[in-house]
Amino acid sequence: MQLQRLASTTNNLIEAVAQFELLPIEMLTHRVHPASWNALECFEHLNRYARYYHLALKKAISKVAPFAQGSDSYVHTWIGRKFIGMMNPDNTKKQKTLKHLNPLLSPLSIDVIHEYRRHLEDLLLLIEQAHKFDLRKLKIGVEFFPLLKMNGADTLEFLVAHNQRHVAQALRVVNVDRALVV
Amino acid sequence: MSHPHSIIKRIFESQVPISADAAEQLLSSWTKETVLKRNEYLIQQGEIETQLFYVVDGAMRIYYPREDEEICVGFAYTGNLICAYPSFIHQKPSDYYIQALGKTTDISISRERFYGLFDRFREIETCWRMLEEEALLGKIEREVEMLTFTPEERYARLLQRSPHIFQLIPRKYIASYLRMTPETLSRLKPA
Repeated sequence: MQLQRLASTTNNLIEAVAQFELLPIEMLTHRVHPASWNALECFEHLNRYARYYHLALKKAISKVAPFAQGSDSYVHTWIGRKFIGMMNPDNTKKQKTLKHLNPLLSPLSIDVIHEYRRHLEDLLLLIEQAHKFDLRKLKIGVEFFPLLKMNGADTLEFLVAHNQRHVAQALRVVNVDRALVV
Repeated sequence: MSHPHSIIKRIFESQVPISADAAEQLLSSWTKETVLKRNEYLIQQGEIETQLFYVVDGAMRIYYPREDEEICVGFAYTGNLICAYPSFIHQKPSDYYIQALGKTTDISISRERFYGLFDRFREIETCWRMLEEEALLGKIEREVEMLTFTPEERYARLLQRSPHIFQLIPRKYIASYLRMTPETLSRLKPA
């Protein structure tokens, strides 16, 4: 894992998401299939992860001192590799999302995307600060099973991969019907 | 204003898969930014259309001038591709105007660059054809509506197809597009 690469990926995501904020609501709430998510739901899903993990990261950071020998690159733990691997876009197995993380059918508005962009900016700051710490010392409980811990490096890589996966999904489902006006 | 390239890429990909190479070539040429103030023109009658635009932010109307009125024939807003199509195709002076209804930002690719991609990347030409087919179908639908629908039916169809339009476009232009007076429109949809 390279922090620099995580930072540039997150920057790209911020640019892509800013464009979503301008699209008509019909494109953002369009569903390709009754049981699949629209673009807003993809972003709300990411918001729920961000609300938990960003706070967990900040708490973990507040418990360790900055380390002069913080690093830019890390090797992942076994558990980290497992979670990150699940986010690989080549992994087409539909993840059974846990109920409270599944936003289907809850009422959503454009605010969802505004919130998500703020979370991405937050994440970028976390990544930029991270080089000051030994990320292996940070222990973050997995959201649905807090006894299982990932370290700081695994968590950051997982978050970025997870964001990429669902932003790509939002791009796929956004309705661009009759795009050309003549 | 940040990059709209992800949506432009999505517009093309949603027609036919395009290779990473094709996407890179398409987007790297799609960079000329145009910022318009309210009432400024993207194109005026008599000018030749040399660009294909993507609307990053804002709204515009397409209209033909007649002696005592301006006939509105369409709108474009965020997420749309637009050009003065007849002029774009035959490279003769445009008959109509495209005017910004508020501050509008567009980015464009030149017709020369765009057509130049067709030889190297067959899929881009296919995407363009499919976008044109959709646009043509839309025009045929509108022609039938204009010739056979009552004003109430035309209004209902517009609301069904583009429910957000009243948030984006001033009412007088919607009335012109529907070929009714602003008073008739107010009767159908009180302000």
